[in-house]
Amino acid sequence: MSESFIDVAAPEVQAPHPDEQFDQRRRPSIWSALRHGKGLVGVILVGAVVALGLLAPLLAPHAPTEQIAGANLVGPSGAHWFGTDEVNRDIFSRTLYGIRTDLIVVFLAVPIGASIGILVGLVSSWWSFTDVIAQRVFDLVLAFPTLILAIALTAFVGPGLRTVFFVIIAVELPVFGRLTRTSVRTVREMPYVEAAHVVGAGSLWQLRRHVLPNSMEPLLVQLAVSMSVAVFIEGAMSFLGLGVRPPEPSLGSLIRDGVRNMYDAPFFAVGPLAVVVVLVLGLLLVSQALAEARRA
Amino acid sequence: MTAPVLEVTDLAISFAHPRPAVVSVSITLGEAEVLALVGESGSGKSMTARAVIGLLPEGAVATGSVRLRGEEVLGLPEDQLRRIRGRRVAMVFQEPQTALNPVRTIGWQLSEALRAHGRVRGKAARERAIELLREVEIPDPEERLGFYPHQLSGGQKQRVVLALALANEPELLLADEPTTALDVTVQAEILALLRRIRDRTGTSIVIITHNMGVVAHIADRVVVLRQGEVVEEAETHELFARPRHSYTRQLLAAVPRLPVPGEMHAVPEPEDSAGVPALEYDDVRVHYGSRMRGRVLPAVDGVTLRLDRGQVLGLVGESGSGKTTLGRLAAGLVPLAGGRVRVGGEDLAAARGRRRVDLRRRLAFVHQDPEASLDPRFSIGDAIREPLDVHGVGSRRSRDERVLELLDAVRLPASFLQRRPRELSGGQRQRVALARALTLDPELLIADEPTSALDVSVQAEVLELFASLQRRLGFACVFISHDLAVVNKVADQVAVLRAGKVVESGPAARVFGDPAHEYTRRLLDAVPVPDPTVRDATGPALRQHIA
Amino acid sequence: MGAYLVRRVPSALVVLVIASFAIFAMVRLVPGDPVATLAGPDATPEARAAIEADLGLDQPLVSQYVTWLGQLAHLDLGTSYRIGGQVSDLVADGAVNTIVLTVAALVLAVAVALVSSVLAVVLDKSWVNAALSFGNTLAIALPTFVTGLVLILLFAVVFPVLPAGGTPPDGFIARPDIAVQYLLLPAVCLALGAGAALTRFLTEALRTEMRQPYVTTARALGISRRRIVLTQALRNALPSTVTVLGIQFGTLLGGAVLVEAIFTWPGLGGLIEDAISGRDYPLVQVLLLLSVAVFVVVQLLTDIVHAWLDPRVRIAGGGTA
Repeated sequence: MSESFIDVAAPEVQAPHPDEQFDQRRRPSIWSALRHGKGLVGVILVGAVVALGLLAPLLAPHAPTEQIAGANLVGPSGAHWFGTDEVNRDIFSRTLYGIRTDLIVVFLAVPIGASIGILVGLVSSWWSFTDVIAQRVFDLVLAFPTLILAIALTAFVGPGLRTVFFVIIAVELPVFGRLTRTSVRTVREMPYVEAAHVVGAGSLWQLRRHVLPNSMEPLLVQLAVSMSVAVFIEGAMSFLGLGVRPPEPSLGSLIRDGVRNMYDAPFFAVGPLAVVVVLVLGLLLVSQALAEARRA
Repeated sequence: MTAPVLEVTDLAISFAHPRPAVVSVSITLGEAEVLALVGESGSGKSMTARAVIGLLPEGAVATGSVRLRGEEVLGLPEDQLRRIRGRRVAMVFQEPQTALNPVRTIGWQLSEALRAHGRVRGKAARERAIELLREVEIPDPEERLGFYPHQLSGGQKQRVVLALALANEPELLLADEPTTALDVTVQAEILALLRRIRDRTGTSIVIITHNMGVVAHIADRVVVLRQGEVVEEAETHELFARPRHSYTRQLLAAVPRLPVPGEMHAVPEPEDSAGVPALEYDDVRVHYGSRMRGRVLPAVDGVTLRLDRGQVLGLVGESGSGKTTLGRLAAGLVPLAGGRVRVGGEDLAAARGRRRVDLRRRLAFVHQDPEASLDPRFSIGDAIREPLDVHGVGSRRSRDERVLELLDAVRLPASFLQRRPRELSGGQRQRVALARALTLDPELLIADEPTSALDVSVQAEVLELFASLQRRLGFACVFISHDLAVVNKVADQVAVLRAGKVVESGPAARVFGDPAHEYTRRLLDAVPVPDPTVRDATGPALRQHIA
Repeated sequence: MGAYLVRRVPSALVVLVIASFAIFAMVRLVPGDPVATLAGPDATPEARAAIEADLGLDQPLVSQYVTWLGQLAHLDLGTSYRIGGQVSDLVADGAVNTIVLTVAALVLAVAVALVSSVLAVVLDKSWVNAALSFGNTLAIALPTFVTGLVLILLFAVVFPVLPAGGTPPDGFIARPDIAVQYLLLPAVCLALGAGAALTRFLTEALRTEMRQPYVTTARALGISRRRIVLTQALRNALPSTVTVLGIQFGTLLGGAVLVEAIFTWPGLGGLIEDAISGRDYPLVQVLLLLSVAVFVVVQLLTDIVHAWLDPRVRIAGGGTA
């Protein structure tokens, strides 16, 4: 072995240097968790439901509100895969169109709520004064159980897709606001941020270059969780009659109709229920895979 | 002839991932012997100890043989290992802060240890627990039984860990870096206690350490490990006097040393130099704790110090002395409760807007933790460039050139530009942190324990690099360290801190060679000298000093 | 500990006061005219004014608020506009049913979480972990309305062994055996999500504890793994689990609204729905305030229990470095 330990001229060429045992594996980006195992299953499940929803006009044999003569509460058959409902509509077609409603909620309302929450969290956590106020407001909103908040908001704006939208934004905003704040607080105190601060980097620079990029991963995991929660909220609200108004279909309202006819036509709720389960399960698996990749 | 207390032959430990942790280690340990296993990180010293007590991490495969008084231990099933652990072999760990259960009392944890081997219960257990605490020299043992770990100091915690290990009178005590996390004065006490326990109970001890001073202080025999292999084994005096293997010689050479007391000649105190100092602390005060909670503790309490341009000021002291706070103060990272901090004659706290940015340009900070000192998402090149980008210095090309120049200055190849911090070793990361700190040619560099997380040989390299850059570039520097020998190596001036106050300050050679204050002398005395002959000479004195 | 309470209680009160005002203001801003609803479309202006004065709606908002607070302090919750009867009676009846349901679900969730997470960590077998993780993911992924329907379909429609809904006709005390039959399905349905979340958290917390250095110390002393989990790791994981339990309780309250609807369980959930759709001011504001108050109190309790369980908070440190 080399005798020139103390000679610093060429320490890097000495292979078995005691200080050389760093981890040579590049840490894979957390996205790669979605390429195998749980993550892959999740992506496939979510992808399948999304595809069904997007392709609804091509796949659906009937229009969602079309009433088919003579087909009243018929069971599943070649013509009507999920059967028909009490006003002679094709449940399969309604389910496909219903997915679209949920997709709007999942992929629009949640990201909007998340973005506003992240923005509020970022800005407020930088000063202790705004931080205290923001925390109190978040506390207040989170103090209401989600469904009670939903009921209260419905009283305010009336039932409908718009209300579901508001409820999800109202629920997700403090969740992301708080999470962002925790991340910011942690990352801000990291030595590399302090080092930038000492040489004169301003708040904006620190936020944009260090804090935000290093806070993304927990936020991403939460996004997947929140999306699955959004499906649940839509379902629960429609189930209670606070969500999408008939005759527009949504997964939740279809389940509600199914329950109403549970004793006459037990098949009714099965299709929409299965789609909801697949969507929630897929999103949950994605979030779990991301969370596990982050911890590794 | 009875079998040796411990006999390890051809031990090899490997994991599924990279290369084996232990390649081939053989050790023999006699009755009431203290054996030191010495090595840097990756030498396999801790893994060897864990194999002896059967606590290897999951996925580790060990081959060879580990015998306790002739009985094979390796490969025993868990329930048989459990009967050996604590009863015949016990272990003491590095970090006393986390080695004890935070939500259980000391007494509970001691009786749990006794219960594990079904020896005593109830009242007898309580009495035995008190006896154990007395054995590790904890005052008021009856009262301490009801204490939770957080109510004890670090040194006391380590004593409790030791009491736990001794609970079932093991024949062999494994001590894995038992004093590394402690202050020097506490370290001296624990080392002395270990020796007394050996003398009293006849327990054989294997001490695992990277610190040559500790080795010289306590060991009868030394085994030097490197990359999972034994490179040298010798009686302690012999090893220090005549190291045979080149690696042992390098290790010994890399250890920073303090001047031997009495050898120093009087050093004239420098007359007050003219010109604006690089940094001035003027009756500085900092409080910790919030007034709302009713507990305000002074972290820095009326410190006045000055650092001239181009000089290195070493701040030394034990934990809680306020040295880190003083450093962070100079970097403007801590709010002041009183006094002034002037950088190049200007008040940092009072500067606003443009002036503040200009002032900050002249400052840089190197943090202790190589794990966290670089943004994991930045490439090495981007990390070094960042200060240039912040201030928009020069063109794109001139910045790239400057980065290459700096990389070269910290003796790293240009190929590192695209790497991520994760792909670098601790020493390399600290060099990158140093390069980034020097990017804007600062007038004042604050280095907070920049080498304390590094191995000795790596520390020696980084210190040497630091000293040569400092000479060449002439920046002033506040160098913070708990290691007096390290500070002695780089600092021109030294300030010794204790509980937020300056105990003594002056030229490094004078303070370390001829300390004026009693506390400084105690600190210096407590540093284990890497020379076993010193131990023989000062051993009794040290004991006195603890009593 | 005393100092801790002194800090924590006022901030809980502040949240409560702000929430009470927010609720009060919000209820009044809701579109929809309660006077018109009560008096009918053909009412004369005089009749309308009489009703308005009776409800105190002609007063300024702030004085209405103060009056309301005063009434609250005397537990005089007023009369329901629409449903009729004393608000306090309506709330008390619903509250009993909701509390029984929620507490049953909570007990169920805690029991399942404790048993399964301790088993998983003590056994530490890959098949146990896989099975638990699968069951867990499923329980979290299945929305309450799905599990509720499946339970009803299975145990009340296909195999009619349990009632599909409603509360026990003889109350909870007189015939506990029958009460349990009525309670079982809704409680299981409500407990499923919370139980799974709690199990997941506790298992992860126990695993984290088992990696702590003090566990290595204990193992090096020859203490068995099982004993370490039961006497040390669990005790350390408890404070944070209590916090999570507090959060889960809020989820349970929200979930109760849905479960009550599915199982036609006459609790506060149905009452709040009726009250809001009927613009029943006195009832709405009391119910909303009640739900916030319960949440704030639960959070306060969990914080206090958390602090009490952690000697580092309970007993100030005496050690110095």
